Amino acid sequence: MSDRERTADNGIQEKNRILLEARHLVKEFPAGGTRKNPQVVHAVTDVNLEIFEGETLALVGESGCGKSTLGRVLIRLLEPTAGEMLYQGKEIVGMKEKEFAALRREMQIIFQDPYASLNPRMSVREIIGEPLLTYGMKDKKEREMRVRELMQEVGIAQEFYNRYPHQFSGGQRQRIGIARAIALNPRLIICDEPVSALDVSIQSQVLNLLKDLQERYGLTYLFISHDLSVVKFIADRVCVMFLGSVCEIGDTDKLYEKPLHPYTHFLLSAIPKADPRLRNPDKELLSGEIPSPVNPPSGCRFHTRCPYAKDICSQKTPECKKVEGRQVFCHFPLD
Amino acid sequence: MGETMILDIKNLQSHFFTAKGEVPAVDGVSIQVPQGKIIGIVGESGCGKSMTAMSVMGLLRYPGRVVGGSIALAGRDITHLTPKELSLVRGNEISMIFQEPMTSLNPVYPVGKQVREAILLHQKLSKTEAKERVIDIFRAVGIPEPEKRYYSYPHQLSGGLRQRVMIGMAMVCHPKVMIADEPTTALDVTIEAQILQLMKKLCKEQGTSIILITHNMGVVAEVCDYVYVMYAGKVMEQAETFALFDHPSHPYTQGLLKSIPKLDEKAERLYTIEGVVPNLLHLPKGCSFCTRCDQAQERCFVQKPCLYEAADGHGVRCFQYESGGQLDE
Repeated sequence: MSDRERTADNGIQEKNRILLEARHLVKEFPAGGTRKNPQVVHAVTDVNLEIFEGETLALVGESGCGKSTLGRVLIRLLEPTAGEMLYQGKEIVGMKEKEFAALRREMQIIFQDPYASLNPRMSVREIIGEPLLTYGMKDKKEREMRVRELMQEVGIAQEFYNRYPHQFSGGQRQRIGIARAIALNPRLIICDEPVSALDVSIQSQVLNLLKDLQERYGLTYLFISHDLSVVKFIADRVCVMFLGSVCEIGDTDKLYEKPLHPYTHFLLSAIPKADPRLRNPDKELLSGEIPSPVNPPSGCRFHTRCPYAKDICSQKTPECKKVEGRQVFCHFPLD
Repeated sequence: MGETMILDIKNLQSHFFTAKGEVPAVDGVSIQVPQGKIIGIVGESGCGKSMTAMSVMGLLRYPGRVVGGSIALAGRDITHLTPKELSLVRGNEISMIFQEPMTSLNPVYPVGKQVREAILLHQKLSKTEAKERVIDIFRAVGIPEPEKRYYSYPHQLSGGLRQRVMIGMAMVCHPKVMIADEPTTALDVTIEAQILQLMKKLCKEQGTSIILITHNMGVVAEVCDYVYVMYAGKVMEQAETFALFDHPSHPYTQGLLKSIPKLDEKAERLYTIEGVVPNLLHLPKGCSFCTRCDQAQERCFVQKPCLYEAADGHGVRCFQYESGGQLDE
């Protein structure tokens, strides 16, 4: 299948090109056990994913579903256990570090915790300037100009040039993290829960900033979040994950309007809505807890919690089904 | 409100005496809790919502201290109880659940034993009877296999189960009031929905009043009967849940509600409240929200507004509603 056909399949305009593609991606972590019988955490299992240029693809799911791991594997902060990754059509799994370094500046990441992701002993100047220095901007004057330009870009006042992270609030720190991420004019930014540590009033400021930057520089975002209302605001497409595997991928509006996978349905209905008139005392809730990724259930990973599960669900892993240009991994998609 | 108030907090002031100065973390907060209702306290970090709860529980630690106001539980003033008297009230008539169930349970004791401790402290029951009570409450809060879970250690339970244990511990003596400080913030949405439903059920069945502290407007809308919106140590707006969401009156409440991304509409940009929460040491001279308020007038910067009655049972701390009666002093 050529790029073009594949994009048409997804119902996305065909001028959109695939920036990063994952095929049968697997990531496992050792989890003790004995030498004869080692145990592994199946963090990401057989994920196929495409990220188109200029879009925002959201990865959503509950804690432990592998969304952060997948984000890190995609920019090779973690090496995949198996599978292929194509960046602009080029295989990047197993690429030599020297060769990959040139691509690495095109892929950046913004972390969740603005308190842990900035070095407390470095000033704003050093934090934002570090990637510039690493990638060869040796001239001090030039670097200062660029750092100040970036500060302006993300809304940090110029007089804070020499300040340290502890002198900033959470929202401002996140802005510094964003400035660092865009310093090298990347194409792809992994946003790993960038606003979940922030207060509501600050959260909206940062979300608007991310949207502005995307427009200005044509950035591509992989936006990892557990907050479905934030995702609704920022994402073009959504990929719902459960216990390491993909449940459903589709356009944001369509997916929210009519979820195809039972898990997506329950996830959406579980969000507390900020309108008391939408209260529903008889709301159907998902029972049970998330199974362990060390011993994931057989067949469809969701079958132990799914109220619609039939025999086949515990025996056979569901294949990708295409429904109205959306992908769903379920034996019995909702309609 | 004509109902009987099980908990009546009047003009509570809790200050922290730090090296940099006196920080008014809770600055004249009045909250009334009727029996069998869920009261929400909502606000951003640092607005004093948790400190209000800690003051009520008598858990404020140095350098913090309650410096004014009164707290009455079922008609009895509990503001100035000795530690011994307080320990008879705490956990028995009024109890609390915290945000992080992992850090609030003791890791070296089985959870059943920890819950049993609460019963043995407050009630004259034998150990076997107490154990039965624990297993009953575990069943009531929806813990599967309660006999087996009685002997589990906290690390063997998931976050959702741990929070159920905490709720069980808080409910086991049938308290009059339970304070829940961000009980679902650390949990996933599907588990959060389960816990909220459980709290609602317990409130209804046992007639316990709940004070729910949260930053999530969605949680408030879902379960609360009455809401207090706090900002910089003060109540900015108070109203019945439906009234608050239908007619948010304080500019801060309006801003908060507008800045949450909505599920049912597609916005190009989100509304933002400019600026950051002010430092409590250097509060503006007038209204504490004036520097961020888009409706601020000149007098907002020099004069502090009181809580005015905008409608029946709807209080707003903003000069725009001055024509209504004053609700506090």
